[in-house]
Amino acid sequence: MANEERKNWRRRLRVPKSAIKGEIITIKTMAEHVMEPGVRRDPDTGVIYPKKIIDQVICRFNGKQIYKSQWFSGVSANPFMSFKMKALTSGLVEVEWVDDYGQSSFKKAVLLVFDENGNEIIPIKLDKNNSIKEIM
Amino acid sequence: MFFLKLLSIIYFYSLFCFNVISEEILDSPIIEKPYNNSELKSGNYFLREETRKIELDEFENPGMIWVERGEELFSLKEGKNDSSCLSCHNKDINSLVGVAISYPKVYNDKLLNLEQKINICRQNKMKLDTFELEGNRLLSLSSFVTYLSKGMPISVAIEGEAEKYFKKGKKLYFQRVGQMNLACNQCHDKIAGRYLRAERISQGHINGFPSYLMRWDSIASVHRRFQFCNNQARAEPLEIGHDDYNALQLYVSWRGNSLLIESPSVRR
Amino acid sequence: MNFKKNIFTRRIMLNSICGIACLLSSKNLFAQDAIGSPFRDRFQSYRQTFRIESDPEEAKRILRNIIKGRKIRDDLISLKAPDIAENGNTVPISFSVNCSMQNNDYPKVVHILVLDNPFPEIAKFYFTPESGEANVSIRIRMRTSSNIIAVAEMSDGTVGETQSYVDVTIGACS
Repeated sequence: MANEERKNWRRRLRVPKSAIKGEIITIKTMAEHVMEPGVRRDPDTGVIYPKKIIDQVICRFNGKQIYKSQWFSGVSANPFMSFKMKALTSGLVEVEWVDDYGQSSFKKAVLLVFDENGNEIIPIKLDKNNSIKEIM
Repeated sequence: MFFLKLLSIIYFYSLFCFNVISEEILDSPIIEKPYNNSELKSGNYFLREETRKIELDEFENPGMIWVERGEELFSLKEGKNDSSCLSCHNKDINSLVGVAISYPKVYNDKLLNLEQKINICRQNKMKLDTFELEGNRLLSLSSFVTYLSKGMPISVAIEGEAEKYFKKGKKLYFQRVGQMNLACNQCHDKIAGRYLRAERISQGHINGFPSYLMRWDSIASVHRRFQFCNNQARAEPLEIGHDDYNALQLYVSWRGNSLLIESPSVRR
Repeated sequence: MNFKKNIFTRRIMLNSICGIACLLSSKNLFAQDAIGSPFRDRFQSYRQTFRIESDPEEAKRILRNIIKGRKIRDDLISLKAPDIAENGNTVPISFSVNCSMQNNDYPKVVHILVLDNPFPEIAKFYFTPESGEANVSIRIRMRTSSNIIAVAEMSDGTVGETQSYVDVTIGACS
């Protein structure tokens, strides 16, 4: 039943489209993965299915890592995980799922952050002369 | 005296052998349902709170992975004619909303369920290879098509051509199978709501199928669930797509007529 | 006296006719072709025999190595898990660490362990001050009814721990 070779294992990511500065948003992720623990056997032949799990889930915001999670074989199949992030500036949220064979898959989403007046906060720091000092 | 005794023994024995007594069940009016419409409860009702929450949220529901893939496969162009499901079935013409509520139905003198009909469409109309039954691609497509009718009540037809399949399905439902000698009605008609070990027995409706079953971590079709039921009663399961399972699916769908379709649901 | 006893009595005829009728109509009694014919005991293969048994001593040793003898702070981490899991394959749990997430007061690592699993460590979570809140929900697998333990190691060296017992049961039939 699940013996077909499929290259498009799905990854899903939900990030709210916009947030107010300082608000804590929930990021939900789900991966379609069989998460084989390496202990189960085929009912007809008795052969053990080889271990194949997602090892690490890393969340980066504008390139900087804000959250990492290491999984072992006890996480359920088609794993769902939701975590929180503090919204300070607009930017790109990127989640990476790393296999225990070293393969990664990515999913990105854009988050817009506004302050109380409705102005968007851009991830750029300006110095005294209003020129770009640092890109966050 | 001797001859009378012999005749009476042979007569009663033939009654027993040829199941004349059990024909009474078929001769009773077909309209009589085990639950009337107000007593119908979907499988949702018999689950715990956490599982119900997983099903309601469309993101957290793992079955939606298959629905999304089904949507992609629906518009995938294949073959030398670049044909896809979307070329015939788009929103305006031949829309598939409301199609899944009437399956299994009779097509060309054969009772088909949704998966087999998709394969027939692919073979005859699109001239492509059929999908493997119970493979991921066919399940994705069938759960997508059923998802389009989400929230609509099941209404399968049992008159006309479908009547003989309906009668067969009803006979199978009441037949005892397996080493444990269990029939479907003994648990799902009579003692629904009570506990069997640690599980609450549901009324046995299939309005949530194709549903995500936690024991297999994937979407399963009705036939695979019937196979599991047969295995649990230590009976020999039939193959996926067997005519008997189609007839049984027709009867079980009729039993749940007017329940809303909930696919993709999350069940144990 | 030399007379043959008549073996074809009425009693014998009746009994033999009934016996032959039984044999000929035994198809419906044993249901060889219909649904439910007897088969080789396939259910044995469903009892997937795990070679790896859970070792409670090993699990406690892992827990001790994480805590490393530090004093456990109360009310640091709270764990929400169902009382009875619907199915051992998918048990949704969530934990929350109450701390300010500023400066040095954020959890560096949070471990989740299940003592009676063959591999007790389930997951580890690493946080940073930008995380806002250390509140994560995840779905885990449990093999049998056991305690789920969540241990939070803060960046200033203190440790918080909490436990929750979840029943994992066998359902109908099987």
